[in-house]
Amino acid sequence: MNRNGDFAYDNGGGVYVRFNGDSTSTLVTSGSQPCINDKRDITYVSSSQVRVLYHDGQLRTVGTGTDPVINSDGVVVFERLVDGFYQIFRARPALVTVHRLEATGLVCSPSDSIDQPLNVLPNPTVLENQPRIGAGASDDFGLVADGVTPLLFKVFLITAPAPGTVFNLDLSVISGGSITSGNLNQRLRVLDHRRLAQARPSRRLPTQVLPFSQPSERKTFP
Amino acid sequence: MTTGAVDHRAPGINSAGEIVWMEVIGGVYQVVSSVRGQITSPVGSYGGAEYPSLADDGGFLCSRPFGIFGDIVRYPGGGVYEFSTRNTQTGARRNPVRQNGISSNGKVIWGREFYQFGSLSTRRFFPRWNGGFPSGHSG
Repeated sequence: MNRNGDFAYDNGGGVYVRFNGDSTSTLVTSGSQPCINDKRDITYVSSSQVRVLYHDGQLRTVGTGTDPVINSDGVVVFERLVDGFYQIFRARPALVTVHRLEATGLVCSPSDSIDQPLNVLPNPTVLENQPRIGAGASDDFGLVADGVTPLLFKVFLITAPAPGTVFNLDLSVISGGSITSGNLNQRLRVLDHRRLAQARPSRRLPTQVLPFSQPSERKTFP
Repeated sequence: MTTGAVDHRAPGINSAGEIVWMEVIGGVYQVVSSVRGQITSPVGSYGGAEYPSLADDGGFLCSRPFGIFGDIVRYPGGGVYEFSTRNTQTGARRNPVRQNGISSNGKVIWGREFYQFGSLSTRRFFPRWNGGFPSGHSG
């Protein structure tokens, strides 16, 4: 069951979902042992393969296993028989989360003018604990695009990336505003050994670098 | 996530990424957390603990079997959502479905199955959107 009260179950070889408030269930696919997360992604088993049917219709196969569950970030855990014993496995694509910065993560002074850019403290321990936005929680604030307030991105991987791994972040305004000059990608900074460096196209991150980035942009609204 | 020559089964996960599973410890299944280690142990009539599901606040639901019976129990607190009954004259009995679910914000779903003449006859599930305990059950 998810936070909305939707739940998934299997019956007769089919995976069904009952959305909260509905009086009937919907057959979504064939399979068994389903689990639904807060985004309505569903993980289930079909032909001994753990699969994920995302809320946007994409279907991915995770691997051989049974009894999968999925959380709101799309992390899937499941069991698999290995050398005669069941073990727990975890799988997930790279996760990008966005965060606002509290005073602990900013370099600023009360005497700064209102248009003074708020700089980010390049400390990975401090940045690790900044509040997340966009996750649907009740205390989940947005961010004002006033040109001086930074937005923090965190790229999270379960294991360290292989040397030479390339991360691409492409930032753009989808609707509702415009950029006064340049583009958002030009404002992107990457935390690299306790230093915020200008991001480059197809920037290669050393594997020991915590992959934080921080764009700050001035936008004008209609 | 796990290794070793015992079974680790039926995982659950919350939004923070904490994972729970049931693992054979002392000959029965107990619930183990990736963050907190073993989080159930024998108490009272309960020996093992099986099929955990995990909420964001760290609370979890699991099955606690004893003999052919068992309860669906919520921790912390140990409140019971579902328990077993038996007609001693006919042998018909009602058991909790061992698998259960708890959402990130604490909504719960559990099941009940009826046995007559030794065979499963009916299985029903009960969503509890406010997370509260059924009337007459301990919370």
